[in-house]
Amino acid sequence: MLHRDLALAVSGLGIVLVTAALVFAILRMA
Amino acid sequence: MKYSLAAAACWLGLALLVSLIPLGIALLGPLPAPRPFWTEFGVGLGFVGMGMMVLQLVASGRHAWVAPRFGADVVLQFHSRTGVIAVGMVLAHPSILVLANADYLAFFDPRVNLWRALALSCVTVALVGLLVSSQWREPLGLQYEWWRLMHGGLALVIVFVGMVHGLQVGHYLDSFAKQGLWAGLLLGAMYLVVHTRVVRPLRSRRRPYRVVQVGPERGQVWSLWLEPDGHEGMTHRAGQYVWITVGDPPYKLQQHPFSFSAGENPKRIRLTAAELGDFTRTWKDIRPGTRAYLEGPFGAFTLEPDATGLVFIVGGIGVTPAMSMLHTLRAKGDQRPAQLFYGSPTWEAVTFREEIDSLEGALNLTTVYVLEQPPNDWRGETGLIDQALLARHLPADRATRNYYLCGPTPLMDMAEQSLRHLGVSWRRIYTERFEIV
Repeated sequence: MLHRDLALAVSGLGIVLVTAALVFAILRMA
Repeated sequence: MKYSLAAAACWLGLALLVSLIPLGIALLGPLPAPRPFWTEFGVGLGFVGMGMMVLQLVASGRHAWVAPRFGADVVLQFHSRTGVIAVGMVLAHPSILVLANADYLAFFDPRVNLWRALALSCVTVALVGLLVSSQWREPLGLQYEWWRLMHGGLALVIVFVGMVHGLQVGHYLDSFAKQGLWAGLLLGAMYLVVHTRVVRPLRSRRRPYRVVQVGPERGQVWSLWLEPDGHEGMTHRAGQYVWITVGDPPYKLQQHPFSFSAGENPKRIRLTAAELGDFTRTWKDIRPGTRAYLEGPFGAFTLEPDATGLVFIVGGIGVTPAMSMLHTLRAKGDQRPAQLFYGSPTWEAVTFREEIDSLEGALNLTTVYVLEQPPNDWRGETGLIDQALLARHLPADRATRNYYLCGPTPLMDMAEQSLRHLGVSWRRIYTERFEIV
């Protein structure tokens, strides 16, 4: 397992999670 | 092959699911009245951040069931990288809320609620402390043992206060069912920590070992030979490692990871370490008969049958897991071609040089020593291992060989990148990074 591939996977995970918080906010905003 | 894209995607998907559990709980059942976008975004980040903090407790605990094919080394690297994102998200939660609406500063005002203000202020400091101490432990001069204790303590405080804070605010956790699920998540996360820090060390206490021999090796390196004391020993695979506590009870701070450096013999274990830290500097003073406790084995840095040959690329003390594998190849009569690239500062510092000579006679093994400061009559490779050197020596069947990398971070980064440039699939590259923190 490569360091670089792991870094890419972790970045992807971070982006998806921030997007989830954004979608939550859009769905919930007044 | 042991590594696969599908397995990586599954474990990443599971990590995503764990991180989203708090947000999922918040969205169950009837929801409260909507608020402005930035307030909801700040709250959303808080939920996701807490999910990621819980994920850290799963990933950092050396649990054998977490991504076993990838091994504890990869999981710990995953933890160290996602941990930074988790801390960022949790810190972004109050920052965005306060920027969106200054009324949220009341959460930090002791005149409004002393205990809440104290708890949240402490968590904010703990988050910054966790990040700084993990990213810059060595420049800060923090001893590993103290760092490890502090790291676990701070993480536990952050998760506990964060989860209780969610319950206290209660905006999205307003029903008994949601509160029950939230408390269940908190208890589950806490249990993982207790399992790692208390249950497993106590289990290892029931299976003690005795140091039977302590001996010097080349390059300011020491080997400990251990035998099980009243039990059948530990079944392990070559290339794996254990956490060892010497002398003290197993729940003491002095627990450190070291690779096996001999063959797969559960009755007689050899661990080898360089005199690099406070703990390893004491190895030469350990007397035979001293009691030790081992926890493990850990790691997926192991020999697999799917390769036409094996290539070890090691630097300094990184040779230890390779030694374990080479001894095992000899014990099994495995005559697949093997190459050992071994970087060392000097010829005298080449740890296990004589053992490697004897293994070369028994195995289909060729060794390429690469010395930074070679003796005058040296005819071999000099400098540092790099892509050009690997390209000169690697055989034609390089794409179907398995590669085992262990050494200092610059060597690991260079070797990973070079092998990819030389056409080796990531699935065939096994790494063991011992310089994580």
